Amino acid sequence: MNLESIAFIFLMAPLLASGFLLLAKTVHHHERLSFVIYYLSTISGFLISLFFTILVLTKVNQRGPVSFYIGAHHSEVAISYTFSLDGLIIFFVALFISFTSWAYNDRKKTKQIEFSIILMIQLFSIGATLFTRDLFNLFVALEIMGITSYVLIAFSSKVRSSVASLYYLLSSSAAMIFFLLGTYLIYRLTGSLNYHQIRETLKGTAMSPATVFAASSIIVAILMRSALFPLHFWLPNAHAMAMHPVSAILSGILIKIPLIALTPFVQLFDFSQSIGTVIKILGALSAFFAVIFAFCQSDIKKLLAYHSISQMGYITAAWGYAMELSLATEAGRILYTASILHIIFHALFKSTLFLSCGTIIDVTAQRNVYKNRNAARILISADRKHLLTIIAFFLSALSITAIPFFNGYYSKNLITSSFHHQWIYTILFITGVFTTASFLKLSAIFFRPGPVENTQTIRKEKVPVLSYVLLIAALTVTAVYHSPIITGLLSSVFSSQSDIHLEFYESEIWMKSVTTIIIGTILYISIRSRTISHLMHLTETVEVNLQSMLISVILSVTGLGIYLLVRGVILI
Amino acid sequence: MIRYILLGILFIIGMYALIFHRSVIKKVIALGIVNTSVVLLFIISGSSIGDAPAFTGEQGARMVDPMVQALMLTAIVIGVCITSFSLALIVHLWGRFETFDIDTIEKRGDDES
Repeated sequence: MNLESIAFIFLMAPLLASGFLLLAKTVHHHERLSFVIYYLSTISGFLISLFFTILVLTKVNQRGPVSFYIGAHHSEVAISYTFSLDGLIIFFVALFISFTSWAYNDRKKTKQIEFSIILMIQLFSIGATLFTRDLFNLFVALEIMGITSYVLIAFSSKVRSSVASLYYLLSSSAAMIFFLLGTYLIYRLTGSLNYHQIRETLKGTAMSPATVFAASSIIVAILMRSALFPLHFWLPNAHAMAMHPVSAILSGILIKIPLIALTPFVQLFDFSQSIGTVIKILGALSAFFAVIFAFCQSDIKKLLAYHSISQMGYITAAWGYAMELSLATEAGRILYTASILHIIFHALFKSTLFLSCGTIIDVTAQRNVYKNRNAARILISADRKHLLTIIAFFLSALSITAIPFFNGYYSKNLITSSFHHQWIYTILFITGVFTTASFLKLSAIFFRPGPVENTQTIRKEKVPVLSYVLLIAALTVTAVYHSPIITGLLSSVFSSQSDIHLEFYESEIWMKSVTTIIIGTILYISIRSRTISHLMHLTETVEVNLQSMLISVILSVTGLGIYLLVRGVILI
Repeated sequence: MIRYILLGILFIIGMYALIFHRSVIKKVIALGIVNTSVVLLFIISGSSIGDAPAFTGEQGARMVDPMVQALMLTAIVIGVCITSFSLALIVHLWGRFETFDIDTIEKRGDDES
């Protein structure tokens, strides 16, 4: 079968499904017909996309990345798409997370058809963002991804979710204007929007302020979607106030997509290593500051949302360091693989955490981590199947805290060990301590004894068994087969036989894990101290308004631009 | 040159209002202004290489860059989508709080949650 004829099917299938879902919406007065169309289009959308993703993935694995053009055969005006293995793997994970979240929402029966329509359009935009090699097409794909996110966030009945959606919309749109401005400058400088031609034109040319400003405008706009410090202020409220399956998709997969799209873009510039340095530092700071805020939160979902920023910090730090060292080096490849690995593992455990904690919040009718007591007993008395909710929660909580034998342990250690003997290693160690303390605090909802009358407020919620079973299976499989996954990723993505030494159970790594757990437990116990709890409360109440969010975008663009220019002058 | 200076002024006015104006409606209008300034920048830049309309078949005339016109058509459509959805959100918030003031919306939203 010709690869070109099937390559776009997995992208177009969800978009086509969304069209049929609109039909289901229009015939909503024929309930049965509407639901037949709804299930048929959604499931076939997922299945066709999954089938062709696997097909393209196996072919790309054999041949290496393949490029195609849309619109014309002449590469100067056609839109270029490159299907690389890393992008296809992430798209596969996106399909998986979207399906589990869809199954969760379908079980809860909340705005099923509307949710599916937006979800399918979003899946299409995820694919377009991952594979496009055309600057303006990337702009369109990111905007579609953004618009679908704003709509999904606003789906919740809470008024706070509409405010969060509006804040995200305004700040993100402001950042995208800089993206458009950057696109203008690149087009003006090179006369093309195609990555390959931009690279050819810019190669060897002197670093000009226009090139630097174009690069920094586009990079900041993309990194804002990935919630990198100091562009992350929109995320906590948006992810915490959205419906649970929406939070799972947004935190699980959506914030990672722009970073993967940034990889080929950054490599267009001769100063890509300097960009990598900045992103590495910002990633480490992101991990550190966000985990402190996460630890201080009393709202369960807000705590998880801050942890998403923190974990994205790990990913971006590894990604930035990979760019700094260059993907042509062995160390750079290992770091890039580590970031992809953490993207996959984090997508699994963070989605599970949002879905399981969402169920806990719904059943116990309590979002406050300190007031939520006796959750295990309440869940089991509501429905015995909630045992799956408890297993899913603990599996993912142990993964995020990097406890040995759980998947997060492998990806986090692969990242942190690469920073050995650097200040970032200490920062990430402290982040690990705070993560342990945060999840001890969150897990306490199951063990903290509560008054008997709590059981009277139990809400009978349907248990999304399919979602939990799939996620638990994925978490277990990735933990057990971590080693072949890592070596497979490394050799397939870079088509090289790397002789990587994977030793996760050396005494030093064990000692680090044990020390992290011990200090984390001490930190958790210290919450009882009045001074610490007062400090935590003060930190929790820190809110950033829209004005500061918008100013941070402008400052980031100028700051990054000035840094790159100064560094360029120094290097010359 | 004067065209670029005017566009710069339009951009700054829009950005200033987007950041500092307290009314959410005016923020959305400001977003439209900033967006328009960038769209105009593309169009003006595209028209600098010629003066005849694109693909009219005029003999001997240098046509403007048709690429930027196609791109900006898409950018305008995206801008319309964003404006309409943000206005829908604002209508929803107005129904709840009866105000367009961003600080009041923020404060009352916090109180409700």
